[in-house]
Amino acid sequence: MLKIVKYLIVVVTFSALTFTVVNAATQDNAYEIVLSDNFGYIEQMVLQSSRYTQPDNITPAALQDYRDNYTLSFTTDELAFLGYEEILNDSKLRVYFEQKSFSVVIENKETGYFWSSRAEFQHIEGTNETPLFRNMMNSGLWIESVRMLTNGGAPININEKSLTTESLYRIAGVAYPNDESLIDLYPECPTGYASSNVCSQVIIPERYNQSRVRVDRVSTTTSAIVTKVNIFEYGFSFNVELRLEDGVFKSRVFSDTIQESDPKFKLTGIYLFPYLGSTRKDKTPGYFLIPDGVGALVRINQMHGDSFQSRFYGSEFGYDSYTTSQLTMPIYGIVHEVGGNGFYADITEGSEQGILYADLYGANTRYNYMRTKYSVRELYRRIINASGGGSLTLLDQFTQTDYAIDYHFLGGSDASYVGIAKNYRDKLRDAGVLKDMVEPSTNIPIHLNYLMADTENAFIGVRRIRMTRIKDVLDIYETLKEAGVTNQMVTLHGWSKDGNGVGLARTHLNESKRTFEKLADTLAEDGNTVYLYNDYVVASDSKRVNYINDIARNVSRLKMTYSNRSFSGVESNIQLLYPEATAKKLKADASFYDKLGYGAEVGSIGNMLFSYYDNKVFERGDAMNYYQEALSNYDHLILSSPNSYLWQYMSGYTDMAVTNGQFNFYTDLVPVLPIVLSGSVPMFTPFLNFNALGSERLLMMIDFGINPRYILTEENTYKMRYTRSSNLYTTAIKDYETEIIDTYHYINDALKHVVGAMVVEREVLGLGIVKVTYDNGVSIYINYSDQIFMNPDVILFGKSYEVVL
Amino acid sequence: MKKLLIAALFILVCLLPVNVDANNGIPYYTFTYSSTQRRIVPTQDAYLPLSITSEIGGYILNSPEDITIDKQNNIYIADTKNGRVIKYNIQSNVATLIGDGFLTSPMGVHVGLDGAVYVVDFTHKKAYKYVYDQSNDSYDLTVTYERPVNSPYFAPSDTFEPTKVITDSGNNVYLLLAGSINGLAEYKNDGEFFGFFGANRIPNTWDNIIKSLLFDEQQRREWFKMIPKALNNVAVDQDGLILTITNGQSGYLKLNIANLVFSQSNWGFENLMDLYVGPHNTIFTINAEGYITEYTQEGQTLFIFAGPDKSSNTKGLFNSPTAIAVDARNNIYALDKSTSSLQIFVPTAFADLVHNAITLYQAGKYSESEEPWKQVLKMNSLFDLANKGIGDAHFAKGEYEDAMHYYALSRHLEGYSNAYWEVRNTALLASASWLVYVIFAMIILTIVNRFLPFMKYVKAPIKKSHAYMKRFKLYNELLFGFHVLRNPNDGYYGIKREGKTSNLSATIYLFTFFLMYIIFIYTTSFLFNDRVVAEINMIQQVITVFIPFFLWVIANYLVCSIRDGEGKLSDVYQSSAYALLPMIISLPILAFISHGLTLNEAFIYTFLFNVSVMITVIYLIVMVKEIHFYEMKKTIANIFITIFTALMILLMVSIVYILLSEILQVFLDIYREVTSRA
Repeated sequence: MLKIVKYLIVVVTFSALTFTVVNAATQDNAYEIVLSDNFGYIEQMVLQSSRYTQPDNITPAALQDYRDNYTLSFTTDELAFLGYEEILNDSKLRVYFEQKSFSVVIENKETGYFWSSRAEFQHIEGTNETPLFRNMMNSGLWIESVRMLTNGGAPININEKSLTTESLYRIAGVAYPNDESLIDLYPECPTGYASSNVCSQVIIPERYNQSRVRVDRVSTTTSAIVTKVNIFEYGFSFNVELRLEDGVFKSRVFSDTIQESDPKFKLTGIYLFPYLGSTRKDKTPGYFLIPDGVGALVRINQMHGDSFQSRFYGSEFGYDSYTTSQLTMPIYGIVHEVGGNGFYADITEGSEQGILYADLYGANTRYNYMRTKYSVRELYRRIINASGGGSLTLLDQFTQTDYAIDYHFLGGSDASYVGIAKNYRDKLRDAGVLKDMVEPSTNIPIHLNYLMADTENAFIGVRRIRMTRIKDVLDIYETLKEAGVTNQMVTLHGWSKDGNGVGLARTHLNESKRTFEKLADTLAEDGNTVYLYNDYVVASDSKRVNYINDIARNVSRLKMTYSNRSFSGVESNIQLLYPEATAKKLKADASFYDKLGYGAEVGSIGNMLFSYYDNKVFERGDAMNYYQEALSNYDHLILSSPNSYLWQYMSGYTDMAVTNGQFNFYTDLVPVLPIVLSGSVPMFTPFLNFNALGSERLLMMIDFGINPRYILTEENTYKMRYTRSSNLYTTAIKDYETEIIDTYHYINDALKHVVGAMVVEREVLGLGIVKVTYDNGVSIYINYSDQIFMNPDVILFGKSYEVVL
Repeated sequence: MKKLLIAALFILVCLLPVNVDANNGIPYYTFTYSSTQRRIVPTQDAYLPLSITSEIGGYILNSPEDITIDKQNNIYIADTKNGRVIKYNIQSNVATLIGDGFLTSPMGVHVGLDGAVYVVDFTHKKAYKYVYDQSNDSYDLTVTYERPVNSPYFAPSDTFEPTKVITDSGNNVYLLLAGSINGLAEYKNDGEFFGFFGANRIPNTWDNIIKSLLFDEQQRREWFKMIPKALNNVAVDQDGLILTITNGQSGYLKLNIANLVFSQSNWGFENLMDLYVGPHNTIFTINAEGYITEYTQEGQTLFIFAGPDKSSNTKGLFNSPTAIAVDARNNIYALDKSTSSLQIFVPTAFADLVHNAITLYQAGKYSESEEPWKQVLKMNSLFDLANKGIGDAHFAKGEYEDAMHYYALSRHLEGYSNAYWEVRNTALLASASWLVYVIFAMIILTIVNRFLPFMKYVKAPIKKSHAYMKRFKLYNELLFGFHVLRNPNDGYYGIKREGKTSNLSATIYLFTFFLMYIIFIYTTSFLFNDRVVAEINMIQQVITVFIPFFLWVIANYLVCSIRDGEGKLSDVYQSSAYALLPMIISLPILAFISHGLTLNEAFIYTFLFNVSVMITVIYLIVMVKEIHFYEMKKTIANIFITIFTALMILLMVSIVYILLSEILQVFLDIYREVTSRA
């Protein structure tokens, strides 16, 4: 007994001692940082903001109102009465065409839903718009032009306001009968237009002036019609083809048929079917889809009173025309009812000349409508002196590319942004632009970037600041591999003797060729590739760039150089290269990367597209061709947020946008771009070093299927604080090693189940709760909120995810 | 000019592709001011734009001008053109109107420590105190603050146009008067006016001092518009100190109760619209373009973000911002007048971390703040404040060498100097015994040398090589500099008459001087060196050294040759170059000793530097006198004329240069116009 007591005493004393020591030690060392949470109501507002996808909350009453009063229906008689004739017909669609106003009504046979290129329901309440407005709303073709000469032939000074947009009806001087005369003229409309959508659209026949505008039929087949649009008033004419192929309605404007016979006017743009899919006020429960960043929705069941305008493929530096939106895909979508009806337009040709517009109810209009402009030519500033003085003017030449749009009409469960993305993805896969991933591995890839060196000014010339050596890269590679981070993609920055900040670096390695090869070989053993980063479009005082031959001139014939002077007087210059020079250098370097066994990561080329002057004006399409041709020489290529025309060449997509342009009228953030690319190419986020959002960002990456990416240096970051790389203000490996391992496993545990799989469904189950389903049957639930979420399949704690196999 | 630069910088940074893309899906970049790099540098995003709304609790705003937040996080908005103040609680979405129907254009609103709401009405030219009446859930007007009558401070012609109101910890009421140079009108809480507070002062520039000596006040006011600038807005911090901003002055001023500047921002915009003090005593300002800046309590710039809205209605950007306020969780509320809307920003995890560290740091808990600072530093290794904070933590723990490292990173001179003092002190104490031994040994050696002259064997090779080198002319010419140093009169005579020097030796002197100057600017300790070594522009340095020197030589020769000077051009060149010897000797010594000094002994450094400059100047004067054989008075006169001539030469050259480039430009323009119209 005594023995047991003794034993007990010893045990208790020892454990108490251990406990005390351990406790004391932890209390001493670990100071816990407690960050106060924000107010609950603010957290709620964040989840309700356009940084997340919102649940589709439509009241049954609103839905019924839409279905009863704002859904189109036409009988054949009514269409004939309005002058529509059936021109195209297949198993999916039936297309009616009214030639005078160039309007179409399209019937989706699967759902029986009618789409009109006119603003419908003008009669439904209140007073009508003015005839001038109605002439725009009822025409399916608008032109934009500039008056160059007065009637007397004197030149007119052009300014931004010289651009005038007219519709066929407006040029023809169309007028509408009032209620009384309507009864006389059209016995079919006994109570006047106020009672019927059909009757509100009839015009006074003799008020369509055929001498000002006339649409002629050039050819008619069962699958297509071609019309010639004559705008005598301005001296313009061009041919438009409307075609129906495999249930897809296609329009095309032929650039080589565009004619201008009156020197007084110059054509600048053509809009086709601007009001197609337009909705009145806030009555339609659906949304507009804008492919800005990862994708944006504008819910049209509310008043926004705003408008949107952006060129596809980003800013046009050649015309000094800048946009903050990044439309990397040439599509837009309109969904009238989620799960009901919707369509999306895919600009298959001439998208580089396209500008997307959206006008939203409240901004001088009762309608929400979205359209693209085929920009035939653009205003530019003709510079005539060194101080940049000059005047706005127009080029004589117009674009060489046709403008073709495919309209895909979607019904049922496909009528949503997911359906649009899926349809577009299928199209790209059929066309071979996107392919299945080659041997998808069992783990997600991680993209690790290493900055090897950069330069700073020294007494004579420059001093190289070495940040990472190849052996450091090998060390960290092995360390991470042992920690289970097996699928590492590596990119080296600043590998050239020129350092990192020059843009286009010379191919002079700053360590021995053998070491470089060793790195590639070591990674190749595990099936991983190493890439060298270089920029062939934007240079920054690079020694490889010849000022006269390589630096591009914009359309105003000024060298495209931009300088940025900081307070301390340090100047950094940026120059844009001629696409031809870019292509030449890219082709010349292909063998360099190849021989070394490396892939190439090329910055800027993916997201820059500009017109330029090189003895004549070249348009964006020319630049596009140069880039495409040059990149076709590369097998292992990583591109930074590339536009869709380069997707077929890439083996990795980096800098996936985190959100969209965050305009006030955007209501939702939707991962359209990631859904399109899912299953085809690994996508990577911008460097996670600069993530200020914490775990929310990681959840969003899991939601969108995006892989992690870091930039690292062996040395402390402060060593490069006086180099051009100083804007990478946190890079030290020792700071990030554990974070990389933790983040990788956190994301891998979710996404490893869906490597190489395609997203087929994405549902918002509640505020901040998302369910993403892949084609291999795996679902991932994500909870962005702090609240616990439960349903029969899953229990989700706050700010967490769950994979359901 | 600075403003333009800032604008240009931001525009470029926004438009051009930079390495760090918008990483958190925000339509703007976040910057901080780096005292290490002396410029605005990017940093992690600190605030996310949340929403823009023009409807508050069912009321539509119309050109709102002011916003404030009380301790319960209720928002008060001066809804100016609607003539009311809206009190709004976001959580309950309940809005209460104050002064609806009575106010006509409320421009300023403030909640005092007493819980009362103070409102300024611009058209009434009065301020009002509203007190909450619980019995009928409304606000009652209790006190009116109006234009003082029978006050010596107010002439009948003076304008009285109150726009903003604040109260201090004693509940005194301060009215900001538009255009008034006298500062804030100060009232007791019961409405009695008793003076002015916080007016700007005329800055003590040389220009202004000279004007004050020469002219009386009226002349200064009328002729030079030498009047202090009117205040633009005010705020009060958690301790009751008053902060002011002024149009045309960068940043803000924080005043103490004695009406003196207590602290001010280390960087700032000049066109600030409003400022507000947040819960951690950090200071938020918003400028006319929409850039929001947050400062620490002491005025170090933390974050610069948001900005002007160029494209459309983008969240986080502004058209014409008017006011800013911050709630207890550092959520920012800002008003935009032209869009009549309220924008909300929420802090990111990074901002929370920084605030956490600052709070601990300011409470003097340096060691506790080390961990959060380290976290901040992990997210931005170049964040000055974090490096300084960690330096302070190390200093507090007595780890002076680590402290030095972090102070050096943040370029915190004072901290570095103090830490170095400690390190040096320890080193000196440790080596004190060795010092004694060395001195003792020297004494013994000297004594030994007396009896056993071994030093001559040590000196012999030097003497021998000296004797050998003496055969070369250049060697003698170069050594002559030391003769000049010892005996300037004789020396310059030697240069002029005896040909003791040559143009070659003078050129060597000149280049040696340049070399020493470069060594000096590159290697002097950063405590005494304002330059960032990696950003020294070599061409600029060449220009600063050689251009003045040659201007001096040429101008001096030209002036003196027509003013009976005897010196030839080569004499002037050679003797001027030789006059640089004191600097050639002192610059490397200065660079060397700067590493052993702290700011406490800065006087040693400055004294030595000044002495060497003075000696050089004296030698130059003597040189002019001897070379041209002038008497003293004429020498001084000629030196002044020389300097004037040098300036004239500079002016003429630049005029010729400008004219030539203009002519060239004309031809280029003609070419451009012809080709572009062809």
